[in-house]
Amino acid sequence: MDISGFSNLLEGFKDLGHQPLMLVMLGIGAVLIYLGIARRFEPLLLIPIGTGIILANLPLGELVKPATEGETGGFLWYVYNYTLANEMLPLLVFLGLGALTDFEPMLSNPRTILLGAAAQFGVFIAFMGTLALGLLPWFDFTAKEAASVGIIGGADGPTTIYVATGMIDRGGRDILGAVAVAAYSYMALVPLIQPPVIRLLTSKEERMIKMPYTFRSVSKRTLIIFPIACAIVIGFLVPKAAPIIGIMMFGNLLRVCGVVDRLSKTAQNELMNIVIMLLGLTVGSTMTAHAFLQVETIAIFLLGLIAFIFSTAGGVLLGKLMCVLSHRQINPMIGAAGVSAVPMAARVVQNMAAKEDPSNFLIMHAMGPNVAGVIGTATAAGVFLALIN
Amino acid sequence: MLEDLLICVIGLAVVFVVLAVLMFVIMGLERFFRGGELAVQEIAVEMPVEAATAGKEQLVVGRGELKPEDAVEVAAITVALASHLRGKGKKLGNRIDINGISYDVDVAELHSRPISVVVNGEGFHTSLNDEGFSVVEEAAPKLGERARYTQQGAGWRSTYSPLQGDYWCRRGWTGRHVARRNKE
Repeated sequence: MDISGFSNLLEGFKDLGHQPLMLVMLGIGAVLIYLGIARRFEPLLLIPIGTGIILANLPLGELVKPATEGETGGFLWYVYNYTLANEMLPLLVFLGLGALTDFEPMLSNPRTILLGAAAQFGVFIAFMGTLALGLLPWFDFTAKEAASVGIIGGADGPTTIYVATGMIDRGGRDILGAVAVAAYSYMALVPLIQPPVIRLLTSKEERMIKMPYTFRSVSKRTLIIFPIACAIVIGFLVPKAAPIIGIMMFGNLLRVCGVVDRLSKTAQNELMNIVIMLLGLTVGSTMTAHAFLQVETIAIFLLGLIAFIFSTAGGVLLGKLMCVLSHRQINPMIGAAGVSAVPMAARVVQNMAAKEDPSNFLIMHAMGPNVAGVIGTATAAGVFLALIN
Repeated sequence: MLEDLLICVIGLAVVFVVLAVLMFVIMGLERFFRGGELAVQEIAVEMPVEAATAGKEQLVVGRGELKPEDAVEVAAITVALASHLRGKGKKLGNRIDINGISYDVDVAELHSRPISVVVNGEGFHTSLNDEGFSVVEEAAPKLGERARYTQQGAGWRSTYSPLQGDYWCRRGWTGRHVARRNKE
């Protein structure tokens, strides 16, 4: 009886002996799954990402091994190369996001769009911060990694993944897993990160400013033409952002045109769910021990937090300026909703307003900058992709 | 480093410019299409005087190009209208017109659970928090009645409608109780 085959059964344990750090990664995967299930932190993404981390760090890495001449690759390797490496999955997420997004609060109060631009301040602060860290001997950050880290400040997961993937194509280091997890973790922590920043920058009187909501409905033609016009305008001004905005606006057109409900519902539900599952798993699968357990990862998480804080501050500061210019017609807090964590950031603003004055309702005012922030982050991503080669 | 700083400045400027351009595009679109069909339609209820005087209402609903997509929407409109009319003490008829299209409708009792609605022979069941619309049909008229009686005379008794039945005052039982006793 040949017993050499039995030794294959123990290969997993042998591999563990060679790479003990994989246990740490298994623990990180388990923590993300715990946060998703027990704490409900972005469960739709953290559960697939956590699972992807565990699957990628199993002994021998059967699921992530690359295809060779005589051997087929692992499932997650194929998914990564045929869907994420070519940026298809993030764009499909944008199709679903477009179908889910209601631009009407923004269209009914166009002034608030500018708050979505101001809330990209943190993106560029984190970009500079990353480059500054790169000057230190312990960190190997170039402009490519800085762009991937900076875009975390936009609070937009798919855009972060899109930029990080684009930067890998341009020769940047693979920090996709770290920036994606940082982005989604901080998006889940928006209710904890934003309130102290808002309180620091606004007075009680400012937080109590009421913005009476007079519902000014937008014409249906405007709703239909806006996505087309937006795609064309951004296509001309920032061509590198055209894929994100173009696909997102296509999704929105499906929603608002009113004649393709089936397509709209598919983009919002079935397609979005499938894509999110694959995206989470694939992003998680890039987080192998040797790629993730680096000193840079800690820096990325720290810089991501800084990006979020400065983005919130940027929005609030422009909100304060608009408050002064409009003779206190605008509550500066709605600027904080300019970070594109939809609708979490708008909810934070509403909760803070209600805390100061229960009769103050800012949610609809905050939704305008909130959805404008999505366009702002996509534009910032396009700028990075255009300027950094 | 200077080049990177330039990327930051240009980047932030581009984001502002792009969103500012979009802002003006939206303002232009709104100005151009103002007065067109609204995304959220207001439902105007035109109630012909002749129909209003009759016991049952024949309703024409709609404004501009409002057109229900399917029977479910007509059912929803029907329930809303029936509830609205019930609050006014009237009853919805068996036909409503939306943009010239007639729909045969039939609404069961609004306080039933669930409320049955039939649109062109197709049946629907609807409920609010697993209940009928009894709150809507009862609360509003009674508040109105109470207010009316309040204006008629002083004292706490006048805030109660005789329609509500008996009540006790220092002179004894009044309301229906007295009426019934007198009748006897």
